[in-house]
Amino acid sequence: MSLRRASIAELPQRAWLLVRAHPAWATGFGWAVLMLVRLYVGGAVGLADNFDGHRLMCQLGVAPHPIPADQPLWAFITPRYDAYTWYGESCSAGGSGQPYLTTAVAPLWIAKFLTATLGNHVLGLPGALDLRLLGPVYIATAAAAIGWCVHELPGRAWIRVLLASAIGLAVADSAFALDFISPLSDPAGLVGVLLLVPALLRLLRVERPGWRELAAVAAVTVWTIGAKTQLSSLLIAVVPCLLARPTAVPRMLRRIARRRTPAAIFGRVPAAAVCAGLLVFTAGFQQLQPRWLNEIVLYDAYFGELLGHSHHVQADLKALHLDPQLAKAAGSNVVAPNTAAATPYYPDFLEHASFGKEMVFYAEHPWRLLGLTGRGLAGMDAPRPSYLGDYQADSGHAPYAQDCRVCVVEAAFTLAEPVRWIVYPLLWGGTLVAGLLLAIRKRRNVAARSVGGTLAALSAATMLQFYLVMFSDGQSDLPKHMVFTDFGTCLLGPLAVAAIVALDLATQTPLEPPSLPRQADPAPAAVAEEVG
Amino acid sequence: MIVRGRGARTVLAAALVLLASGCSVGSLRYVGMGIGDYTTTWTVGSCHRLDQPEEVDPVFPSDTSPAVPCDTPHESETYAVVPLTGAVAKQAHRPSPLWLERALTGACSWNAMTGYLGAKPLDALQDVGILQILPSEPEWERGVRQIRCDVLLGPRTSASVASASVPLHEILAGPAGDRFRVCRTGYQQVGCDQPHEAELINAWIKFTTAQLAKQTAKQQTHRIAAFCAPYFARYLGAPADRASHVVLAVTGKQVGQCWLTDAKGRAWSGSLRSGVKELP
Repeated sequence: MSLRRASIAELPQRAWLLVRAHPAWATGFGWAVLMLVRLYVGGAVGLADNFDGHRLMCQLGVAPHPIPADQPLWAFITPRYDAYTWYGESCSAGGSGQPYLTTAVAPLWIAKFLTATLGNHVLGLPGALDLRLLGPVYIATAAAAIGWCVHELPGRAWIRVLLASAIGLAVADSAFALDFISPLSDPAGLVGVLLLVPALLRLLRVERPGWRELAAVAAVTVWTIGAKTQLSSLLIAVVPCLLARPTAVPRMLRRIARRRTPAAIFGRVPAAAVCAGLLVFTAGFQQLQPRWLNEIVLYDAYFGELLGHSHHVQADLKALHLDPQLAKAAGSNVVAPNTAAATPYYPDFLEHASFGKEMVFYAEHPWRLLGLTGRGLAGMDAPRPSYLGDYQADSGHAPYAQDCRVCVVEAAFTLAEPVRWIVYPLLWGGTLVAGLLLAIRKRRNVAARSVGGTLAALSAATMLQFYLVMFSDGQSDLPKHMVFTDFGTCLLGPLAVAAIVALDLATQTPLEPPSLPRQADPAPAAVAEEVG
Repeated sequence: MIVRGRGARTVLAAALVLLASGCSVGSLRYVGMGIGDYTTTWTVGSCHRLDQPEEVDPVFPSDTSPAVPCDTPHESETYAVVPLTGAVAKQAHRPSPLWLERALTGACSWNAMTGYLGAKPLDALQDVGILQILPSEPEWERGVRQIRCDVLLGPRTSASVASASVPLHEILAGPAGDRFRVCRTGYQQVGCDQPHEAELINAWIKFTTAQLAKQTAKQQTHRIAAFCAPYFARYLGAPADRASHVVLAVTGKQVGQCWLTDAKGRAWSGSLRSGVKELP
């Protein structure tokens, strides 16, 4: 008995020793447990399907288990799916006759396998696919990313654990974690953005990035952009980071890359090739997007946002070379009673409207960006859709009840709302400038370079994501569409603190610590020989 | 052939991947979509199983599921195939569902549908609707320009769909079609195959706002009864003074409807149109 009491008393100490010995593994595991508790203890919570789930779930040969006739739509999560055979275009993106391609289908296949094995035979979960078994897949991925962050962040072990845990807290928040038990593609994008943080930290930390670093960043980027096309904004973060430091010069180019400048140029050939691959992938993936979905987005951008908030609709239509009769549809969405799609002028709109022309319009009317920015910032006060329920129907909660087991982000964003014109520009702009300064001025210090570069990259990607949403979907359903902007914003805080830690380290140790492994670097050696 | 060097191996691997993906672009076309050959069944009288909401949503305009025998459960049945004409038909790619829905409103005739079901003038119907099925995208690209007009059975809820296991052609001529006729018990509308106290005739009289303000409820009822009486006789194929039935006039907001009831207030099952000639 006393032995047991002694070992119980030693538990915290042993745990701390474990954390000190393996901080990355321990932190990752700890957050996996915390997120499991957060999502499942007291009944599973998630996000109800707002009909977007069909285009993704049908690819797995399943359909939602019917809900009671008197249950309000979207009021509760519906995690159970039954086997169903979908023919032809009944399984396509909004009936467009084109597939909804997303990497989010991969975790769902794992969840389907888990349902058929663990769910059906051990947990007593009937059905062909249960979203409650999708949660652990995303939790494991997110926990791995958090653990990896501990490995790549600067500072002492406890500082790294704390910083990574701050990121973990954001992931576990009701604004994001509920996506893990949903039939949407958003969670694949969220874990992708999360994985990109340590991948970039690693890429910028090493003196000569090798194929592992390049491959990791490329794979995470492909995964994330492949989850949601709107995440193409990540390219603005990834491309400069990939090209920031030269890799080892490829063997076939070493003869002509003996001097410093050619070595710097040819050392970037592998990264440039990866960047080119990412650009081609992104462009190709954009081309594969269903025309119908693009049409809805274009409609929202023109009629919902641009014309919907115009004081001179006729003049704007003229500037956009569109028929003045379309003015009646200003402010509408594609299914509204006054939709332009019901008019004879709609084909003319489809023929003449494009995102390129929209950009030209904003370039010619830059003051309109002010209003657009204001609406976007105002929309960020609600980081999740209130029209979707979070609980199961038999949980005892009211329809559309919102989970608030971890509600830090929503509270922070709500508090920031009155001062949104100060908080967000200051946070985004400040972290961008600070990150760039840190990465450039202290580039010989690994911690500063790594955190500064990642901070600036993420800040730029977050801002671009914000404007991508506003230029495409506009004010329509902002709480849902802004999820990646919200998430990126949340990651900036811990990374900004990490930057302060890195600055402190850079002041103490201006040169690169000798403990870091350096890769073979034949090019400078060749230069040295030549000089000698 | 032995390939030496990491770079060369990488290039070879990339080339193989590109070659493989190039070879299979055609087969990749339907990745992430439903199964089958994307060919619509364009046969009048064919029956279709459409269990899910998406399969009857206008946003999902095609149906390439295989037809099922009409003596098995089915939710829709084709009553006509009509050519698709106009500006929409000239599009090289199938236009967006919303444009199609608006442009093709009324392409499938309601009268043709009721005729297929065997309805006669004055038949009031419920739980039947029209589902317009368009060519799939591959069919459209092949130049197919026609619309399949289906009778869609109702009611459909989030928990269930309505189906039939008999052919719907001329179904209203017999008692099997009574479920699609409108009756009511108390204030609840039911199919006429259920016990009911009144049966609706598809004839109605409209009141203007001035008339409603001027006339009392009793005056309105008398007016509706007078209006309905000849339709009542035509509906039953019997003299208007048939004693066992009366006309119950019900006013809606601005419309008076003709409901047949038993003079003694008795309930019955089945339609007076299709078989029940004498009340119990």
